[in-house]
This record gives sequence, C-alpha cells and structure tokens, in this order.
Amino acid sequence: MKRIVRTVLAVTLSLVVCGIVIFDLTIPEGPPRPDDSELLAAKTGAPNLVSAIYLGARLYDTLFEILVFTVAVIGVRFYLLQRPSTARPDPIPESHVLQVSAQILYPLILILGLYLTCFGHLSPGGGFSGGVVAASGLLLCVMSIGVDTVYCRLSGAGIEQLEWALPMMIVAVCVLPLAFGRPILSNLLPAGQAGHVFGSLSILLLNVLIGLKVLIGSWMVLHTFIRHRGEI
Amino acid sequence: MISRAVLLILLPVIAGVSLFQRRRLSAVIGMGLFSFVLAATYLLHSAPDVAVTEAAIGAALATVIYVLAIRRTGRLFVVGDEVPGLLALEGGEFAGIEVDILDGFARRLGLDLSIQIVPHRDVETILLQGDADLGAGGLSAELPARLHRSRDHLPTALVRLRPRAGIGAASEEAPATARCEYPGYFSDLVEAFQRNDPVEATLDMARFLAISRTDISGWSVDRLPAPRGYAFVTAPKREDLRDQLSAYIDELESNGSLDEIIRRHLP
Repeated sequence: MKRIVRTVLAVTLSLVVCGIVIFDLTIPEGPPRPDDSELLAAKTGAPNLVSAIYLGARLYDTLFEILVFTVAVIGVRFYLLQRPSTARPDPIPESHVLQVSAQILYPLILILGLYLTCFGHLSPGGGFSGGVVAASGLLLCVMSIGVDTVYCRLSGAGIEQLEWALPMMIVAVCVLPLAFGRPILSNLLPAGQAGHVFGSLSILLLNVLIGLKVLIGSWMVLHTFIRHRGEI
Repeated sequence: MISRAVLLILLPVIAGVSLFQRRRLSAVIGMGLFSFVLAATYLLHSAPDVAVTEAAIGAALATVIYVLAIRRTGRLFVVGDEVPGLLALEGGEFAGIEVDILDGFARRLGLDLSIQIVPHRDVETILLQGDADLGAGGLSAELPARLHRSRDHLPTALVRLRPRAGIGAASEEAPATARCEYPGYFSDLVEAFQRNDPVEATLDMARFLAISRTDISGWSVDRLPAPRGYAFVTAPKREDLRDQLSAYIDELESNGSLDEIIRRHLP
C-alpha cells in the first residue's frame, strides 16, 4: 500500500514538472545577447552560441575540461583495478520487463546521443552531453544483452587504445592551425554556410571527437564499477 | 514566472526529503529526481545545453553509478546452502526460520536482504574473502577464529551417514568430524541419496530429517556428540554486525516471536 502511494506520488510529481516545462516552454528569450554574439556566430558558422563559445572563443577552457575528464577516468581505473574482480558465476537476473524495454530503447538513445553530438553547433547539445546520453544508451544495452557481451564487442574494436588516443587527437586539432601559419586554437577548417550541418566543420569535428571521448570514458568508468564494485 | 518559482521551491524540498531517507536506494532515487527537476529549471532559465547535460549525467548516469555502488553496501548479502525448514527455496522465494530472522534483521538495519545459495563447504571461504556479510544455512560447527559466530537460534545435533557396503578399515577408524560435511549443494546430495550413490556425509538435524525421507537402509547412521545449535556467522572484522544480530535474536526470543517463527516452519 505504502509502495503504491509512493509510486503514485513520484509519477504525479514527474508529471507536474513535465507539465510546468511544457506550459512555460515559450521562453528562449533569456538575457539580452552581447553585441558581438552575432559576430561570433557568423565567424564560426554555429548558430548555437554556447557551442560557438566553448569550441570557438573559449576552446582553451574546454581543453582543460577534457583533461579533467581524462584524469577522472584514469583515477577510477587506477583505484578500482586494484580491487579484486567481483565477477560472479550467475549475476542477479534482471526482470524480463526491464530487459525487453532496454532492448527497444537502447538503439534510440544511442541515435539521440549521435544526433546531439553532430548537431551540437545548431541546437542544444554537443559532444559532452551527446557522449553521456550515448553512454546511458550503452548502459541499457548492457542491461539487455549482458556486460560481458558488450565488453567483448567493444574491446574487439580497440576502444581502450582509442580512449587514450582521442585527447591527443583533440589537442592535435587545436595545434594544427600553427602548421598553416594561423594562430593556435583558431578554426582549422573554414566556416561555411551558417545554420547548415556542415556549416561549421571545425566545431563539428571537435564535437564528434569529444563525444567519442566522453562515450568511451563513461563506458570505461561504468564497466570498471560493474566489474570491481558491483554487478549488473 | 510562477512555474519557475514552483520548481525552485521544489528543489530544496526534494533535496531535504532525499537527505532524510533511511534506505540508501530511496535517497539515490531522490537525488535522481532532484537532477530531473534541476534540468527542468535550467531549461526554463534559457540554458537548454546545461539542461541536457544535467538530465543525462545527473538523472541517468550518476544515479546508475550510485545504484551500482550501493548494490554491494546497501544490502545484507547472505550466503548459505539450502536447509529444509531453515533456508529453503520454495517456488522461487526463500522461506524458513533463518530467512524470517534475517529478513527482519535486514529491515531493522535499513538494508535489502540478498541471499545466494552456495555449497555448504564454500561458505567459510566466501566469508573469509569478504565477499559476503553473513553466512547462514544450518551452520553449527566451530569456525576459524577470524569469523564471528552469533548466538544460537535453534538447537541441533549431528548425524553421520556412511554407506554400509563401502566401509573400509580406514573409514571405520577415521575420527568423526564434528561438523556438517558433504560435497556440493544439498540438492545434489538429496539426488545422490535417491540414486543410492555411495556418498558419505555428516549432516545436521534439519538436513538429516529431509534425507531420511528417502530410503537410507543402505547407510549406517551414527549420532555424533552434539555441537552447539544453529547460528549465523559474520565476515572478519564484522563484530558489530554479529553483536547487532545476537541482540536482535535475543529480542525475538524475549517477545516470543522466535518461538512463533520456529513453530511456523517446523510444525
């Protein structure tokens, strides 16, 4: 009885929050844009000003965010790999409902992650959020087909090496303009038609690299947690 | 404007509620709900990029990592082999005297009870490795010094079964091991007796009663000097858990619930 009351309360609360958001979702006015924002958007070819800032004007900050994330992944692996693996012969079986719904949901969520990554310069999203969304899709995949299957398929594709190569690639993309006689951290590829998917190749490239980096890093953190702290 | 205010008021309320949850799982779900409301707040404050990230990290990924972490610590992990009447699988559910005691005890601690059936011989090893919190399943013998034994909840005796045909001189002379001893799982042992395999086993009273329903005329039956009664065993350095469990069994005994549980499962 108590459980039913709680479930009803939680569902009602979620509906109220969703209702408020839908009811009030006419805003994106926000604070007035600074005068040079249009200039920045035109310069980078990215209508989403947030992307234009963190992958254009403030790319230097983003580089260190990626560094922080990489260090976090290294830390998790360093400390958890010392613990014995908790692989058990027969893990707790998930309920059938969860398994089936996870099987249906995970391709959609992976595609949503891909969309957020690739369209980050046009609409809200970007490499960081897209990568995390894709990682939660991967987690659903783990729930439906098992952690070992997913791990075998992914490590067969050499993702661990890719995880360490990606930060280097991101730094290379940032440094490469020097070779063409342009200032460091400037756009490597020319800005095209604003509002087009390939209108801002440089930001698209960085978003894809960051998205991959975040996806693989989150997967490695999750996998280490599952193997050495709990089970799934 | 009002909706933003409502969300902003909801935030500290949800945070407070999840802070005061006794069960860890409820607290983690509360945190997930907090992230969800926070994402909605960001969205209404014209920060859709942050909202997407907050929803993905806070409501999905961080919640899952917390759940994975508390799957070990947020539950009372018990290992033991089946004992009819004490710890038995009946239609996919555990039932028995030990299950009832442990269920109430886990509830008292605010943990989820999780029982795994393992061979009787492996219980000590698993506890010594620290892979489980408690050992159960008809444990009556003395144990290695590093493990801690709770108070008894039911008296028992030990019975040794040896196949009559296969008794050799060495086996005759062998000192009776004063502990329950048989290979593999108890369910396998029952099948072995049904097939009349010449297995040798030392069993506690509950297991012996279950075995004696099959034809054991081919075995010689010796009653061994009784050890102590059935008890639970906690992993090394878990004296606190042992003391809490013993106090809980004392309490059950003093208010009569222990007798009631025993009568319910051993009519």
